[in-house]
Amino acid sequence: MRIAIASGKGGAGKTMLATNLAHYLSRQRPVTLLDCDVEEPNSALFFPGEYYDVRRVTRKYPEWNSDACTRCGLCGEVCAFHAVLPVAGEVVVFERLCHGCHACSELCPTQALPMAARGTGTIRQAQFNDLRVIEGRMDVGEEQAVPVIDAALGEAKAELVIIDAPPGTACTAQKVIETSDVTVLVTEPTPFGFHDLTLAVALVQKYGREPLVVLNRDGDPYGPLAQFLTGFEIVRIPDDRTLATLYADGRLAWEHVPALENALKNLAQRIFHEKT
Amino acid sequence: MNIAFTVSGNDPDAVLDPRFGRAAGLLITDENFADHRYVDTSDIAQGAHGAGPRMAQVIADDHVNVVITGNGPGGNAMTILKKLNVVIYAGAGQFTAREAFAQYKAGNLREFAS
Repeated sequence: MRIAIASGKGGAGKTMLATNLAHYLSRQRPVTLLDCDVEEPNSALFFPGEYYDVRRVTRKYPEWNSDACTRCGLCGEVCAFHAVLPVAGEVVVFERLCHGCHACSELCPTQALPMAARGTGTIRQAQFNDLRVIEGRMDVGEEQAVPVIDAALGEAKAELVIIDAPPGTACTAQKVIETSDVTVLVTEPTPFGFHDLTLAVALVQKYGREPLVVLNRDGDPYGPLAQFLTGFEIVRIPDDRTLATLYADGRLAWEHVPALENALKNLAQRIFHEKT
Repeated sequence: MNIAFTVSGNDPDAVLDPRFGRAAGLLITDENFADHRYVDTSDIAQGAHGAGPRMAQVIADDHVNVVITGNGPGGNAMTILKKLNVVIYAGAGQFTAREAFAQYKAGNLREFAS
Protein backbone atom coordinates (compact mmCIF):
# COMPACT_ATOMS: atom_id res chain seq x y z
CA MET A 1 0.00 0.00 0.00
CA ARG A 2 1.29 3.40 -0.98
CA ILE A 3 0.20 6.46 0.94
CA ALA A 4 1.05 9.85 -0.58
CA ILE A 5 1.36 12.76 1.81
CA ALA A 6 0.71 15.71 -0.47
CA SER A 7 -0.53 19.30 -0.34
CA GLY A 8 -1.12 22.12 -2.70
CA LYS A 9 0.71 24.67 -0.60
CA GLY A 10 4.35 24.18 0.31
CA GLY A 11 5.11 24.40 4.02
CA ALA A 12 1.70 23.05 5.06
CA GLY A 13 3.25 20.13 6.95
CA LYS A 14 3.88 17.27 4.50
CA THR A 15 7.31 16.36 5.80
CA MET A 16 6.25 16.74 9.43
CA LEU A 17 3.33 14.40 8.85
CA ALA A 18 5.18 11.92 6.64
CA THR A 19 8.15 11.52 8.99
CA ASN A 20 6.03 11.21 12.13
CA LEU A 21 3.46 8.91 10.52
CA ALA A 22 6.17 6.61 9.12
CA HIS A 23 7.92 6.42 12.49
CA TYR A 24 4.64 5.87 14.32
CA LEU A 25 3.54 3.07 11.98
CA SER A 26 6.98 1.41 12.02
CA ARG A 27 6.34 0.52 15.67
CA GLN A 28 3.69 -1.91 14.45
CA ARG A 29 4.96 -3.11 11.04
CA PRO A 30 7.77 -2.59 8.54
CA VAL A 31 7.46 0.75 6.76
CA THR A 32 9.33 2.52 4.01
CA LEU A 33 9.41 6.32 4.10
CA LEU A 34 10.05 7.53 0.56
CA ASP A 35 11.05 11.17 0.07
CA CYS A 36 9.87 12.11 -3.42
CA ASP A 37 10.24 15.84 -2.85
CA VAL A 38 13.44 15.45 -4.85
CA GLU A 39 14.04 19.17 -5.41
CA GLU A 40 14.36 19.75 -1.67
CA PRO A 41 14.36 16.38 0.11
CA ASN A 42 14.46 16.79 3.87
CA SER A 43 12.74 13.75 5.42
CA ALA A 44 16.17 12.22 6.01
CA LEU A 45 17.07 15.10 8.35
CA PHE A 46 14.74 13.51 10.88
CA PHE A 47 16.47 10.13 10.59
CA PRO A 48 20.20 10.79 10.80
CA GLY A 49 22.32 7.73 10.11
CA GLU A 50 24.37 5.89 7.54
CA TYR A 51 22.86 6.42 4.11
CA TYR A 52 24.29 4.65 1.12
CA ASP A 53 23.73 5.35 -2.57
CA VAL A 54 21.33 2.86 -4.12
CA ARG A 55 21.90 4.19 -7.60
CA ARG A 56 22.51 7.21 -9.79
CA VAL A 57 19.61 8.35 -11.95
CA THR A 58 20.65 8.99 -15.52
CA ARG A 59 18.95 10.63 -18.49
CA LYS A 60 19.56 10.42 -22.19
CA TYR A 61 20.41 13.47 -24.28
CA PRO A 62 21.83 13.99 -27.78
CA GLU A 63 25.50 14.75 -28.33
CA TRP A 64 26.29 16.69 -31.46
CA ASN A 65 28.85 15.28 -33.86
CA SER A 66 30.02 18.28 -35.89
CA ASP A 67 31.81 16.19 -38.54
CA ALA A 68 28.74 14.07 -39.37
CA CYS A 69 26.31 17.04 -39.37
CA THR A 70 25.14 18.53 -42.68
CA ARG A 71 23.48 21.55 -40.96
CA CYS A 72 20.09 20.62 -42.44
CA GLY A 73 18.28 21.99 -39.39
CA LEU A 74 15.78 19.14 -39.05
CA CYS A 75 16.75 18.53 -35.39
CA GLY A 76 15.70 22.05 -34.45
CA GLU A 77 12.36 21.65 -36.19
CA VAL A 78 11.44 18.39 -34.45
CA CYS A 79 12.49 19.38 -30.91
CA ALA A 80 9.35 20.41 -29.00
CA PHE A 81 11.42 21.89 -26.17
CA HIS A 82 13.98 23.92 -28.16
CA ALA A 83 16.69 21.88 -26.49
CA VAL A 84 18.45 21.36 -29.83
CA LEU A 85 19.06 24.57 -31.70
CA PRO A 86 20.82 24.90 -35.04
CA VAL A 87 22.29 28.38 -35.02
CA ALA A 88 25.32 30.15 -36.49
CA GLY A 89 26.57 27.04 -38.26
CA GLU A 90 26.45 24.90 -35.13
CA VAL A 91 23.92 22.73 -33.33
CA VAL A 92 23.68 23.82 -29.70
CA VAL A 93 22.30 21.20 -27.29
CA PHE A 94 20.76 22.34 -24.00
CA GLU A 95 21.00 19.10 -22.02
CA ARG A 96 18.79 20.28 -19.21
CA LEU A 97 15.96 21.32 -21.50
CA CYS A 98 16.04 17.92 -23.23
CA HIS A 99 13.19 15.54 -22.35
CA GLY A 100 15.01 12.55 -23.85
CA CYS A 101 12.42 11.80 -26.55
CA HIS A 102 15.09 10.73 -29.09
CA ALA A 103 13.28 12.54 -31.96
CA CYS A 104 16.30 14.56 -33.13
CA SER A 105 18.58 11.56 -32.75
CA GLU A 106 16.33 9.11 -34.60
CA LEU A 107 15.37 11.50 -37.40
CA CYS A 108 18.84 12.93 -38.10
CA PRO A 109 19.66 11.80 -41.67
CA THR A 110 23.36 11.47 -40.88
CA GLN A 111 23.22 10.14 -37.30
CA ALA A 112 24.98 13.28 -36.07
CA LEU A 113 23.09 13.31 -32.76
CA PRO A 114 23.77 10.01 -30.96
CA MET A 115 22.18 9.75 -27.51
CA ALA A 116 24.45 9.76 -24.46
CA ALA A 117 23.67 9.43 -20.76
CA ARG A 118 24.31 11.88 -17.97
CA GLY A 119 23.60 11.84 -14.23
CA THR A 120 20.64 13.86 -12.95
CA GLY A 121 20.07 12.65 -9.40
CA THR A 122 20.79 10.06 -6.72
CA ILE A 123 18.67 7.58 -4.77
CA ARG A 124 20.00 6.75 -1.32
CA GLN A 125 18.66 4.86 1.66
CA ALA A 126 19.19 3.86 5.28
CA GLN A 127 17.56 1.26 7.52
CA PHE A 128 16.42 1.91 11.11
CA ASN A 129 14.88 -1.23 12.66
CA ASP A 130 11.54 -1.61 10.89
CA LEU A 131 11.80 1.72 9.11
CA ARG A 132 13.58 2.15 5.81
CA VAL A 133 14.16 5.70 4.60
CA ILE A 134 14.67 6.16 0.85
CA GLU A 135 15.44 9.55 -0.60
CA GLY A 136 15.45 10.82 -4.16
CA ARG A 137 17.71 13.84 -4.62
CA MET A 138 18.03 15.86 -7.80
CA ASP A 139 21.44 17.24 -8.72
CA VAL A 140 21.88 20.98 -8.21
CA GLY A 141 21.04 22.90 -11.38
CA GLU A 142 18.78 20.26 -12.91
CA GLU A 143 15.40 21.38 -14.21
CA GLN A 144 13.30 18.22 -14.45
CA ALA A 145 12.30 16.37 -11.30
CA VAL A 146 10.03 13.66 -12.71
CA PRO A 147 12.79 11.24 -13.83
CA VAL A 148 14.28 11.27 -10.32
CA ILE A 149 10.83 10.83 -8.76
CA ASP A 150 10.18 7.91 -11.10
CA ALA A 151 13.44 6.26 -10.08
CA ALA A 152 12.70 6.80 -6.37
CA LEU A 153 9.23 5.26 -6.74
CA GLY A 154 10.85 2.27 -8.43
CA GLU A 155 13.05 1.62 -5.40
CA ALA A 156 10.22 1.44 -2.84
CA LYS A 157 9.10 -2.16 -2.94
CA ALA A 158 7.88 -2.60 0.65
CA GLU A 159 4.30 -3.51 1.48
CA LEU A 160 3.67 -0.20 3.21
CA VAL A 161 5.20 2.96 1.77
CA ILE A 162 4.66 6.48 3.09
CA ILE A 163 5.58 9.03 0.44
CA ASP A 164 6.60 12.61 1.16
CA ALA A 165 5.27 14.10 -2.11
CA PRO A 166 6.46 17.25 -3.87
CA PRO A 167 4.34 20.35 -3.17
CA GLY A 168 1.91 21.80 -5.67
CA THR A 169 -0.28 20.17 -8.28
CA ALA A 170 2.16 19.97 -11.19
CA CYS A 171 3.44 16.82 -12.94
CA THR A 172 5.79 16.13 -10.02
CA ALA A 173 2.94 15.81 -7.50
CA GLN A 174 0.77 14.03 -10.08
CA LYS A 175 3.45 11.37 -10.59
CA VAL A 176 3.28 10.49 -6.90
CA ILE A 177 -0.49 10.76 -6.48
CA GLU A 178 -1.29 8.62 -9.53
CA THR A 179 0.87 5.75 -8.27
CA SER A 180 -0.50 5.83 -4.72
CA ASP A 181 -3.45 3.98 -3.20
CA VAL A 182 -4.32 6.67 -0.67
CA THR A 183 -3.65 10.41 -0.83
CA VAL A 184 -3.49 12.47 2.35
CA LEU A 185 -3.66 16.22 1.73
CA VAL A 186 -2.19 18.50 4.38
CA THR A 187 -3.52 22.03 4.71
CA GLU A 188 -3.52 24.92 7.17
CA PRO A 189 -6.20 27.47 8.15
CA THR A 190 -4.98 30.33 5.92
CA PRO A 191 -6.25 31.76 2.62
CA PHE A 192 -3.20 30.28 0.85
CA GLY A 193 -3.71 26.87 2.47
CA PHE A 194 -7.38 26.93 1.52
CA HIS A 195 -6.79 28.01 -2.07
CA ASP A 196 -4.17 25.37 -2.79
CA LEU A 197 -6.19 22.66 -1.04
CA THR A 198 -9.06 23.23 -3.48
CA LEU A 199 -6.62 22.65 -6.37
CA ALA A 200 -5.14 19.54 -4.76
CA VAL A 201 -8.57 18.06 -4.00
CA ALA A 202 -9.62 18.61 -7.63
CA LEU A 203 -6.43 16.85 -8.75
CA VAL A 204 -6.98 13.78 -6.54
CA GLN A 205 -10.60 13.60 -7.70
CA LYS A 206 -9.40 13.52 -11.31
CA TYR A 207 -7.90 10.14 -10.45
CA GLY A 208 -11.34 9.03 -9.23
CA ARG A 209 -10.40 9.08 -5.58
CA GLU A 210 -11.27 11.06 -2.47
CA PRO A 211 -8.39 12.42 -0.40
CA LEU A 212 -8.09 12.25 3.35
CA VAL A 213 -7.52 15.80 4.63
CA VAL A 214 -5.27 16.71 7.54
CA LEU A 215 -5.79 20.21 8.93
CA ASN A 216 -2.45 21.21 10.40
CA ARG A 217 -1.94 24.10 12.86
CA ASP A 218 -5.61 23.92 13.70
CA GLY A 219 -6.51 26.86 15.93
CA ASP A 220 -8.19 30.02 14.74
CA PRO A 221 -10.48 28.74 12.01
CA TYR A 222 -10.41 30.24 8.54
CA GLY A 223 -14.06 30.50 7.52
CA PRO A 224 -13.91 29.59 3.83
CA LEU A 225 -11.70 26.56 4.59
CA ALA A 226 -14.00 25.36 7.37
CA GLN A 227 -16.91 25.64 4.97
CA PHE A 228 -15.06 23.83 2.19
CA LEU A 229 -14.12 20.99 4.53
CA THR A 230 -17.74 20.24 5.46
CA GLY A 231 -18.33 16.75 4.19
CA PHE A 232 -14.64 15.76 4.14
CA GLU A 233 -13.19 13.28 6.56
CA ILE A 234 -10.58 15.39 8.28
CA VAL A 235 -7.95 14.84 10.94
CA ARG A 236 -6.85 17.83 12.97
CA ILE A 237 -3.37 18.57 14.29
CA PRO A 238 -3.55 21.46 16.74
CA ASP A 239 -1.33 24.53 16.52
CA ASP A 240 1.24 23.51 19.13
CA ARG A 241 4.45 25.27 20.09
CA THR A 242 6.18 22.15 21.39
CA LEU A 243 5.52 20.41 18.08
CA ALA A 244 6.88 23.38 16.13
CA THR A 245 9.97 23.61 18.32
CA LEU A 246 10.78 19.92 18.01
CA TYR A 247 10.25 20.03 14.26
CA ALA A 248 12.51 23.05 13.90
CA ASP A 249 15.18 21.10 15.79
CA GLY A 250 14.90 18.26 13.28
CA ARG A 251 13.26 15.89 15.74
CA LEU A 252 10.22 13.64 15.60
CA ALA A 253 7.45 15.08 17.75
CA TRP A 254 4.76 12.44 18.08
CA GLU A 255 6.16 10.77 21.21
CA HIS A 256 6.27 14.15 22.96
CA VAL A 257 3.02 15.69 21.75
CA PRO A 258 -0.04 13.60 22.70
CA ALA A 259 -2.29 15.56 20.32
CA LEU A 260 -0.06 14.58 17.41
CA GLU A 261 0.01 10.94 18.48
CA ASN A 262 -3.80 11.02 18.61
CA ALA A 263 -3.97 12.56 15.16
CA LEU A 264 -1.63 9.87 13.76
CA LYS A 265 -3.70 7.13 15.38
CA ASN A 266 -6.87 8.66 13.98
CA LEU A 267 -5.31 9.02 10.52
CA ALA A 268 -3.96 5.44 10.55
CA GLN A 269 -7.44 4.14 11.39
CA ARG A 270 -8.92 6.00 8.45
CA ILE A 271 -6.17 4.85 6.12
CA PHE A 272 -6.56 1.19 7.06
CA HIS A 273 -10.32 1.42 7.72
CA GLU A 274 -9.86 0.02 11.22
CA LYS A 275 -12.70 0.16 13.69
CA THR A 276 -12.21 2.53 16.60
CA MET B 1 23.80 47.26 -38.42
CA ASN B 2 20.59 45.92 -36.90
CA ILE B 3 19.38 46.91 -33.44
CA ALA B 4 16.56 44.90 -31.82
CA PHE B 5 14.35 46.05 -28.95
CA THR B 6 12.23 43.63 -26.91
CA VAL B 7 8.72 45.07 -27.18
CA SER B 8 5.14 44.25 -26.28
CA GLY B 9 3.74 45.43 -29.61
CA ASN B 10 4.53 47.18 -32.89
CA ASP B 11 4.91 50.69 -31.49
CA PRO B 12 8.24 52.55 -31.18
CA ASP B 13 6.63 54.84 -28.59
CA ALA B 14 5.43 52.11 -26.23
CA VAL B 15 7.43 51.03 -23.18
CA LEU B 16 9.71 48.02 -23.78
CA ASP B 17 8.92 44.52 -22.61
CA PRO B 18 11.72 44.00 -20.05
CA ARG B 19 11.82 40.24 -20.73
CA PHE B 20 13.98 38.73 -23.42
CA GLY B 21 12.66 35.26 -24.29
CA ARG B 22 9.04 35.97 -23.54
CA ALA B 23 8.72 39.40 -25.13
CA ALA B 24 5.75 39.61 -27.51
CA GLY B 25 7.96 40.80 -30.33
CA LEU B 26 11.12 42.47 -31.56
CA LEU B 27 11.32 45.91 -33.08
CA ILE B 28 14.32 45.90 -35.39
CA THR B 29 15.87 49.15 -36.66
CA ASP B 30 19.03 50.35 -38.34
CA GLU B 31 21.72 52.40 -36.59
CA ASN B 32 19.77 55.64 -37.15
CA PHE B 33 16.36 54.40 -35.96
CA ALA B 34 15.28 55.43 -39.47
CA ASP B 35 13.02 52.59 -40.47
CA HIS B 36 11.88 49.80 -38.23
CA ARG B 37 10.14 46.52 -38.69
CA TYR B 38 8.29 44.32 -36.24
CA VAL B 39 8.85 40.59 -35.72
CA ASP B 40 6.00 38.91 -33.86
CA THR B 41 7.37 36.36 -31.40
CA SER B 42 4.20 35.71 -29.41
CA ASP B 43 4.35 32.01 -30.34
CA ILE B 44 7.68 31.81 -28.47
CA ALA B 45 6.29 33.73 -25.50
CA GLN B 46 3.45 31.24 -25.16
CA GLY B 47 5.62 28.12 -25.39
CA ALA B 48 6.29 26.20 -22.20
CA HIS B 49 10.01 25.64 -22.63
CA GLY B 50 13.12 27.12 -24.14
CA ALA B 51 11.81 30.63 -24.91
CA GLY B 52 15.24 32.22 -24.39
CA PRO B 53 17.16 30.02 -26.85
CA ARG B 54 14.32 30.29 -29.39
CA MET B 55 14.44 34.09 -29.21
CA ALA B 56 18.22 33.94 -29.65
CA GLN B 57 17.59 31.93 -32.80
CA VAL B 58 15.33 34.72 -34.12
CA ILE B 59 18.12 37.19 -33.34
CA ALA B 60 20.44 35.04 -35.47
CA ASP B 61 17.95 34.63 -38.33
CA ASP B 62 17.32 38.38 -38.49
CA HIS B 63 21.04 39.25 -38.37
CA VAL B 64 20.70 41.40 -35.27
CA ASN B 65 23.95 42.90 -33.94
CA VAL B 66 22.70 44.76 -30.86
CA VAL B 67 19.85 43.88 -28.47
CA ILE B 68 18.35 46.51 -26.16
CA THR B 69 16.17 45.03 -23.41
CA GLY B 70 15.23 45.27 -19.73
CA ASN B 71 16.21 42.41 -17.45
CA GLY B 72 18.77 40.76 -19.68
CA PRO B 73 18.69 37.27 -21.23
CA GLY B 74 19.13 34.09 -19.18
CA GLY B 75 22.00 31.62 -19.36
CA ASN B 76 20.69 29.42 -22.16
CA ALA B 77 19.99 32.39 -24.44
CA MET B 78 23.37 33.93 -23.62
CA THR B 79 25.13 30.73 -24.71
CA ILE B 80 23.83 31.38 -28.20
CA LEU B 81 24.06 35.17 -28.18
CA LYS B 82 27.74 34.93 -27.27
CA LYS B 83 28.36 32.59 -30.23
CA LEU B 84 26.68 35.19 -32.43
CA ASN B 85 28.77 38.03 -30.93
CA VAL B 86 25.59 39.99 -30.29
CA VAL B 87 26.06 42.93 -27.92
CA ILE B 88 23.35 43.14 -25.22
CA TYR B 89 22.29 46.30 -23.40
CA ALA B 90 19.99 45.71 -20.41
CA GLY B 91 18.33 48.08 -17.97
CA ALA B 92 16.20 49.85 -20.60
CA GLY B 93 12.91 48.30 -19.47
CA GLN B 94 11.38 51.62 -18.39
CA PHE B 95 11.99 53.35 -21.75
CA THR B 96 10.09 53.31 -25.01
CA ALA B 97 12.06 51.97 -27.98
CA ARG B 98 12.62 55.54 -29.22
CA GLU B 99 13.85 56.72 -25.81
CA ALA B 100 16.00 53.62 -25.36
CA PHE B 101 17.62 54.27 -28.72
CA ALA B 102 18.50 57.84 -27.60
CA GLN B 103 19.93 56.45 -24.34
CA TYR B 104 21.95 53.92 -26.32
CA LYS B 105 23.33 56.62 -28.63
CA ALA B 106 24.19 58.78 -25.62
CA GLY B 107 26.14 55.88 -24.12
CA ASN B 108 23.91 55.65 -21.07
CA LEU B 109 23.05 51.95 -21.27
CA ARG B 110 25.23 49.32 -19.62
CA GLU B 111 26.44 46.34 -21.55
CA PHE B 112 24.98 43.13 -20.17
CA ALA B 113 27.36 40.38 -19.11
CA SER B 114 25.87 37.15 -17.78
